[in-house]
Amino acid sequence: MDVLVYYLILIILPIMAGGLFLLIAILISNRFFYDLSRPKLEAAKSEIDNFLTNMIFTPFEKNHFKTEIEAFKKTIPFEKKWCKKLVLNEIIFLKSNLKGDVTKTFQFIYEQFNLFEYTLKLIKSHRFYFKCLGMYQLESLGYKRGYPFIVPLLNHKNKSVKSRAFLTLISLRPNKLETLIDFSHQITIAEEINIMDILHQKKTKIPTNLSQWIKSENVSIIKLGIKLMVFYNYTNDNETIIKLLKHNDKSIRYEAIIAVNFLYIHEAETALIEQFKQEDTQNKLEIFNTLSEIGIKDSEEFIAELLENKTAENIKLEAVYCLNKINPNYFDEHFLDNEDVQKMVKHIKTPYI
Amino acid sequence: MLESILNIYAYFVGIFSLTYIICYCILAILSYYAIKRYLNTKNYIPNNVIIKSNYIPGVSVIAPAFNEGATVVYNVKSLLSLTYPKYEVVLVNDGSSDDTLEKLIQEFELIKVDFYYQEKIKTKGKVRGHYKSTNPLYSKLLVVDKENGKSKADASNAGINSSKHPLFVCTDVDCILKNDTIIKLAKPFIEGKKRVIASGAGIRISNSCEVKDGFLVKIHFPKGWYPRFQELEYVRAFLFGRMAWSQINGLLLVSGGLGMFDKEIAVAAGGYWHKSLGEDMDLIIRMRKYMYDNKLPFSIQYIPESLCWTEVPSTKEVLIRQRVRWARGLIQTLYLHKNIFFNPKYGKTAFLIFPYFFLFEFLIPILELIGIIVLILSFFVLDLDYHNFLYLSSAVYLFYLIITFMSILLDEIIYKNYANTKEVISLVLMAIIEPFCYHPVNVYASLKGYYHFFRQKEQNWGNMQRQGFNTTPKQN
Repeated sequence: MDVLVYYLILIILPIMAGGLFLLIAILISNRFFYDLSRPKLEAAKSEIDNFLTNMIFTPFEKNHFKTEIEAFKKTIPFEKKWCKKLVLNEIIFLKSNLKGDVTKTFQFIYEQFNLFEYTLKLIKSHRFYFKCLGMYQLESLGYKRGYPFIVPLLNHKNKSVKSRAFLTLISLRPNKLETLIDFSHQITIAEEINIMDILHQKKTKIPTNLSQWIKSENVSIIKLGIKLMVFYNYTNDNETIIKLLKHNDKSIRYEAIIAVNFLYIHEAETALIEQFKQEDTQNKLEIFNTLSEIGIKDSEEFIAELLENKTAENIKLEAVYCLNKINPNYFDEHFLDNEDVQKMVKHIKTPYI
Repeated sequence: MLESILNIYAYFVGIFSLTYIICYCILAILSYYAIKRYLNTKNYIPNNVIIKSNYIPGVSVIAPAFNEGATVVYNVKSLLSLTYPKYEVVLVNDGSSDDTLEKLIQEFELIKVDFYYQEKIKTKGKVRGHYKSTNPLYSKLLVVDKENGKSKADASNAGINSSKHPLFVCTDVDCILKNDTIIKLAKPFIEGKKRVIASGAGIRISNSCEVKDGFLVKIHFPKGWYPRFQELEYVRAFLFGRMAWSQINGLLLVSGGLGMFDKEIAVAAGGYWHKSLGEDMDLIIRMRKYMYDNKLPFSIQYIPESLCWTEVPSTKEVLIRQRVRWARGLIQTLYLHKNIFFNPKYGKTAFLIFPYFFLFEFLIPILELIGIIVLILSFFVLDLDYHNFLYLSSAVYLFYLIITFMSILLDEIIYKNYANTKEVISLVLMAIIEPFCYHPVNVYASLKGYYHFFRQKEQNWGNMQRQGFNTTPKQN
C-alpha cells in the first residue's frame, strides 16, 4: 500500500494535475482564439460570397475574369488554408444550387484560384478521408482534368477510397458506367443511392451492356441493373425480369417486382401471383403494389380469395388497397357482410389518409 | 473484527476503483475512434443526395402529448418542417384534459377519419380516433386521440400502431429537433452493413435557448445551476459513454427524447412496456434479445451530434423526482431482464454490457453510501491515515476532471456549441464543483429510487414543471 501511495504522490498525481491544467489551457485558448478569428472568417466568407455571386452573373470574359480574381485574391487572406477551403466550398455550393450552363465558368474560377492544386494535395494525402474529400470536389465541379488522378485509386486497398473513386469516375466519364459490370465487390445501398444520383444529375446515356448486368454473378450488380432499367424505362429485357421474380436472392426478387410495376410488364401478372406464397411480408406488400398497377381479372380473383381466407392481418389492408385500385367498384358488391373488410374499405376510400 | 471488515472493504474498493478507471480509459479510446470514424465518413452520402433520392426508407415521427395545449401547435409546426422526403408526423394526444386536441383541430383543419387501426402492440388506453387535415399543407400530420394510459410508453405504442413507415422516430412533443435530424438518424440504416435496429443522437438543454414558434433561434448556455450541471452531464454521457458503446455495438440505451427504430423489430419485441419506468432502455434490451433469439446480426448506432434540445429540471425537487424515476427504471429493467446475465446466448450483452451496467451504474451509489459509513466508522474505530486518504481521493477527483474536460474539449473542437469563451470557462468551473454540489443530490436520488423499487412503492410519473423558453425579441 505504501509503495502504491509513494508512486501515486511522486508520479501519478503530478502527471494527472499537469494533464488537467494542459487540458484546461487548450480548452480555453482554443475557444479564445476561435472567438478572436471569427469576425475575420465571417468577413472573408461574406466577401467571397459577394464576389463569386457577382462573377457568376457577369457575362464570361476570360481576361476580365482573370484580372478580377487576381485583384480579389489580394483582398482576402488567400494564402491561408482555411480561406482556400472557404472559396472552394462556396464554389461547390453555388455550382450545386445553380442550373444552366455555368459549369465552365465555375471551372475557370476554380483554376484561376489554383484550387486544383489544393484538391490534388488532398487526393495525394495519406489519409483516406482527405482522398475522398478531394475526389468529391472534382465530382461536384465536374472537373474532367482530374480524371487521370482518379484512375489509380480504383484499385486502392481502402474500400471507401475505391468506392468514391468509382463514383467520381462515372461522374466525370459517364461512359465508364459500363465497366461497373466487372466489379467483384458487393455494391452497398449507399453506393447505389450515390450512383442513381449521379445518373439523375448527369443524364448519362444508357450503358450498352445493360442486358448483361442482370445476368451477372454479383447480386448487387443485378439489383443495380434492374434499377437502371427502371430509370431508363428499358423494356427490351422484360422476359429476363420476369425470370428474376423466381431468383434465389430475396432482394433481387424485390427489385424485379418493383421493375414489373414501373415498366408495366403485364405479362408478369401470373408469375407474381404464383410467387406470392413464397415471399416474406415486404415482398408480398410490393407484389400488391405492383398488381394494383398491372393486375386485371386474375389478380382480382386472387386477392378476393386471399381476403376470404385466413391472411395475415398486416397485409390485409394492402390487399384491400390493391383490389380497390384494380376494380374501384368491387367492394360495392362484395364483402358487404365482412365487418373487418368494410372498415378497411372505409380507410382506403378516405381521401385524406 | 470490525477493523478487519473495514480493511477488507478498503481493498475491495481499491480494486473496484481501479477496474472502474481502467474501464473508463478503454471507453475514452473507443469513444475517440467512434467519433473519428463518424467524422471521416459522414459526407459519404451528402444530405442533398438523400433529400433527392427515391431509394430511402420512410420515417414516422411519433410524438406523444399530454396537456401540451399551450405549445402543441408550435411544436407540431416545428416537427412538420423537418427536412426529409418521405415522412409523417404522428402526434398522440394521450387523453389530455386541457384543450390540446381542440387546438390541433382548429389550427390544422383536422377531421376525424375512418382509420383502420391495428393493435399490433397492445395498449392500455383505448384509441378514440384518428384525425387528418383537410389542408394539403398538413398532409403529413396524423393525430391519434386516445384515452390516457398513464404512461408515455402506452402513447408511443399507439403511435407505432398507427404509423405507416418502416422506421419510426420517438421523441417528446416539446423537444426541439434540428432540421436535418431525420436524415442524420436514418443514415446509419441506409449505410449499415449489418441490419441497424436503432439509432440515436446527442440531446442538449434548451432551458435558456431562444425559441420562436417551436423553432430554435439561438442556443444559449443554461442559466440555472442545475441545468448547467446537467449540461455537463449530457455532454459527457453522449460524447463519451454512448459513443464508446456504439463503437463496440454495445448500446443498451437510446434516449426516449430522440431515437430512431426499426418498426418491424420494435413491434416483434413487443414495443414499449407501459409499466416500465425506464421504457427506453427496456425497449432496446428487448430488441437486442429478439435479435439474439432469432440469430440475426444487428447493430445500434449513435451519432456524436446534438440533434435535439429539451428542457431539463431546473429545481432540486424536480431533478430528484426525475432521477428517482431513472434509478428505479434502471434497477427495474436490470431485474426484469436478469436472465441475460452471463447467458451465452446473449453474447457481449450478457458478459460485458449487463455486468458493466450492474457494477458501474447500479452499484456505484450504494458503494458511495457504504463508503461514507465506513469513513465515519474509521474515524472512530481505525487509525485512519488521512494523508493517504487525501491522495487517493485527489487521484479519483483528477481522473474525473480529466474525463469531463476531454468530453468538453471534443465537443468544442467539433461543434462549438457555446457562444463564447465565457461560457466555456463557466462550464469548466461547474465541472470543478460538480462532485461536491451536484453529485450528492444524484446519489441521494438514486438510492431513493432503489428504495422505492424494493419497497414496491406505487409508480408515479410525476409532472415535469416547464419554465418555458425565452422568446425572441419582437421585431418592430
